[in-house]
Amino acid sequence: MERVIGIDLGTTNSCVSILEGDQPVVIPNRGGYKTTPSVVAVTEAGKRLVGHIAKRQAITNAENTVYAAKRLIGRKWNSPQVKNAILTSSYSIIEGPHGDVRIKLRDKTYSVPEVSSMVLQEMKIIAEDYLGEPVKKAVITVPAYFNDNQRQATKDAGAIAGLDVIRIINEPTAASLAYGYGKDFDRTVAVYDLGGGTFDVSILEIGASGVFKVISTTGDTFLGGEDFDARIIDWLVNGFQQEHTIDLRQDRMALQRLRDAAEKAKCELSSVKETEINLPFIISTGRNEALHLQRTLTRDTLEKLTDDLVERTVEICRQALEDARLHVDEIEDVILVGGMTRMPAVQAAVAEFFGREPNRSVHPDEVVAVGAAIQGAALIQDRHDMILLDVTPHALGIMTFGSNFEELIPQNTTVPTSRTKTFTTSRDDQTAVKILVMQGESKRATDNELLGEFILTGLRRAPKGHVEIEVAFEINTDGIVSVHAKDLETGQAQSIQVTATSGLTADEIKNMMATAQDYLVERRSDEQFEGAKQEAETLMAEIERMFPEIERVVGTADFGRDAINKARSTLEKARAAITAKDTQAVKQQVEQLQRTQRMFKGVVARG
Amino acid sequence: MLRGTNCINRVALAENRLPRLVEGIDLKALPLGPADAFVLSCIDGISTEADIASASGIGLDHVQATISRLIGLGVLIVAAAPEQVKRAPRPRSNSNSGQFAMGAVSEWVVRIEHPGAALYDERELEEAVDIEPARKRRILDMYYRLDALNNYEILGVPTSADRRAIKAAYHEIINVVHPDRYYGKNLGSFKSKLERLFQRVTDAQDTLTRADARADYDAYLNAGKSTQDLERQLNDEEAYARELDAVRARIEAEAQRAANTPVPGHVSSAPPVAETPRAPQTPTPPVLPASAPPGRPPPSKADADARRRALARKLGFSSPPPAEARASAPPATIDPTSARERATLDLKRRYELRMLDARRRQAQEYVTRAEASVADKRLVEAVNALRIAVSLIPDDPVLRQRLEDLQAEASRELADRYLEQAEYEEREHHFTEAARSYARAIAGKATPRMHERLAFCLLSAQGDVKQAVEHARKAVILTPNDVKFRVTLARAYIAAGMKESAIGELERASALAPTDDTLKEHLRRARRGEF
Repeated sequence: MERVIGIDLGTTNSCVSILEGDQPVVIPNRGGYKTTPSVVAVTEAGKRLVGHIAKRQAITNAENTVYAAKRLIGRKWNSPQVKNAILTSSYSIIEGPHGDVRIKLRDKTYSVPEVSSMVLQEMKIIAEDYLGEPVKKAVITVPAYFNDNQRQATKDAGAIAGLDVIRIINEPTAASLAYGYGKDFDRTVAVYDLGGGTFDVSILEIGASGVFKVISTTGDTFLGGEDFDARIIDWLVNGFQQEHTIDLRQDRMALQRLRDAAEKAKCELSSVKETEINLPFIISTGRNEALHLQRTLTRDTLEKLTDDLVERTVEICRQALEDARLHVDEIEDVILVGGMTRMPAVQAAVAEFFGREPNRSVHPDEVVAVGAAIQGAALIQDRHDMILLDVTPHALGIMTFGSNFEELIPQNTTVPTSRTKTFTTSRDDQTAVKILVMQGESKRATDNELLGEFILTGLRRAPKGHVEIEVAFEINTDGIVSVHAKDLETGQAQSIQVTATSGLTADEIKNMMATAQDYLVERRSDEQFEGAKQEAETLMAEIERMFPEIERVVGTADFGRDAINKARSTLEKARAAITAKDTQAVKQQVEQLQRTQRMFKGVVARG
Repeated sequence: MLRGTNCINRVALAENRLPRLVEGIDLKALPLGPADAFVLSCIDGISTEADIASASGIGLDHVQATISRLIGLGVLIVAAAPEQVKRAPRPRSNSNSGQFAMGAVSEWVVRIEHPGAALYDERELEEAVDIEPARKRRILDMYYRLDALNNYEILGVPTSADRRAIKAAYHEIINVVHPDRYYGKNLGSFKSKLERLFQRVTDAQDTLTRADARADYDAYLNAGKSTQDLERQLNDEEAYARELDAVRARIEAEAQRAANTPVPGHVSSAPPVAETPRAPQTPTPPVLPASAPPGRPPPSKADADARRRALARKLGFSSPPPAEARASAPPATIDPTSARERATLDLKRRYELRMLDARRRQAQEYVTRAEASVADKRLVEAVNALRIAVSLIPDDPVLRQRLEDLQAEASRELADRYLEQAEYEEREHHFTEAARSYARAIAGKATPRMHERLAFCLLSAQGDVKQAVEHARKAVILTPNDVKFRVTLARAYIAAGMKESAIGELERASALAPTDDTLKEHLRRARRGEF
């Protein structure tokens, strides 16, 4: 039996796990650590470094060391998140050829999935060293709130690393699998996952029969431990500026040291009340005189610096409950995931909001990888004792006439799922439509994430509203979207599997949307037509049935022949209207048919 | 979506046989009475004893006794109708749409339990996929019944099932239908079937495990069911014809029996009616002296009792005998040529008088029943009973008027139910369905708001714009000062491409609500031509 590893590809740290028999094992790296920093560097000699070794040399090689690539994966160059990352990163982020993001290391540029693939490859090697055999298949986790572009990009990263990614699953869901695996639970739980770069809350029902069903999921893909670090860095930089009027941000090496010190201080303050940050020779004044940074940070100060961040997570918890239509009392356990949940202020806020002490039975750094391994094993084994039902974190739809977002699959719909809607052309003689596939919660299409687009051509020339196009959305168990559009009349069809990563610039999107207006469809329900058609067909069948009798009764008389001919032409017209799918015409013919039928009935009754 | 819900799950009776006719029997040669013949006429191979009893209004005991007798005569055979099997498979040609609909759910129950009777092509089982045959069968069984089943039926739980039971049922089913169960296996055409099944059962469990959604769904299901039941009953021509036949048979039987008694036509001495109607039999009110002149205007609605008395009087021989009866009686001027002929004629006249008498008594019976139903707020039953009475005494204007009133009232009630349904559908964003239900509700009882909502739903469902305009306009004409109505009308105008009218309407709406900024913004944009 082939084995599947579970990889938690984190913002700051990654972790790999596998099921040995029934027991999940977290695989340590060569240094004996169970987690590996998600850090990639290229040395002066052009050598690639990954993990602890890359992190250790970061200070001396800050410009060529990539931290937190996960924050950039599947993002577009013009997104505010990327703009923000450019400001705070010690490495250089540049625009790629498709409006996507590239990272420059030494003289080479790398796409973000490439950088992530280096981390994944490292995790693969760690597992292979431990197992003594090659590993091909993996389940990789992503934040629940990742959109489709980010998921696809992660899957691509896996492929680049030589892994067959059999499933992408959500981090909080994975955590719940590890929590409920092998236990005969029947309860509703909340997973609070505050990682290095992202925050997710999922509400799940765990059934005694091994069913894990996500009820709702929500989050913020730009809220995590790094933001807490940034607050400490700001505090240090501002203090230093006041004292020495020197901006440490201008010095990339200083910034890297500050980053390390801030993270270390933050971690220490989870167990002690105060800690000293001591960075001698942080910067040179240029007159051969070095300045030192030395400050004491207390837990109270840290909490004051970050209380709005903690409050934001609580707000998101509230949203998740609301989406799940549950009251806080109905949550029977709270699982904490992610290194940041070691922070006492975070634990206190969670305990206060949910009105109960959070569960401490799972390891916040390892639980996600363990869950991924469990899911991997459950998929390939024939013995099925667990099934995972996840939801789509964002609504999916297309842009319709007037830049409206027409939702096909609502947020928090259990996947796999598919929905179909019929649209019509929005202009006369329109021979092509452009389907813009979007994801998001806004009614205005432009506020949502564009996932992809395609054009359906070869439509019949007709007045607007007369050509019907069926659009079908499908989300598979990976949460990956495919869209099909079909001209109902000609059977002409187009589809895409939404493949992301080839990000577009905001301008490109804008232009595309502007030109797309000409191609767009309008929504229409065809039920009216169906109703009229049915009514007409019933009447037609009945009239047909009466013909012989009518012929017998009045067939010889002139007026009788006229009536019969008129009836036949009515039938003809009704048939034509049905073929033309013209609702209005069918309705008119229904009236005619009713009249004919009444007349026939009268004749038969008299005859 | 609720195609399967118009079915009545009848309470299964301890003894509930399913009689079928033996073919090739010469019924005329058998010693049968009218009651036997009537029961025989109800046997269609579909209806069980309980069905016959409830459809005919004859008591179950009586039906069972009659059927036992007919079995003894070799006219009938009986297939056991076990609790679950409420309907046995039957020839298609026998079914009319109403009955077919009634059978749908139970039929499903039967088939689920006997997977042999499949809705799918057996060849689909032969597709070479990695699923074991029993499971394939189950998947196909479920798949081809999806559309006919409501949320409870799809999960296979009773409507009383609690949250836990629903979840347990759901978990059991998804272990069969979740695609992950077959990871890496060749599924062929089963893949898409599994996905659709999974989605459907998930939607069903999502609705039924959320208290508010379930309450709404139940209400909707019940409303839909009772509305359809009501509508069907109200228009059930077949039941009406059956009932009428039965009444006529009873009249005939009664008249014949009366012929054996020395004083024909005397009500009080007539023997009790043989076939006791199943409906609670209210004693016929005593005939009152004719204190009011016949042919007075129909009594006011307020006084049901007075009306009942009046009707009773009317039927209680204070009115001239029905024209039909008079016409059929031989004219007195004809001078009979012989004593024998005179005797025959006399006999015939006496027989017809007895018939008339029996007819009146039956009509009276139905009027009483109708008024009792009105008192119980069972309008449809009342309408149906009164229809029979009117058929028996067709030229009674009071009776006719009363029937028309009741029919109007019943359609108002129906309208209320459709309104409820429409509101649910609108809440659930099923606008097309909501529009349809609003239209039906309006047919029975129209209010400005209903017109407006219909227009709104039509617009939301991208339905018939002309109709939307028409209804929105009606709403505005009836209630000119409602801002919301005017905004809906403006929307309808925009949808219809009538921009000037839309702007005019928005202006009037804005004048009514001068502080509404959103409205002003709408208006500004409309004036700029941005719709």
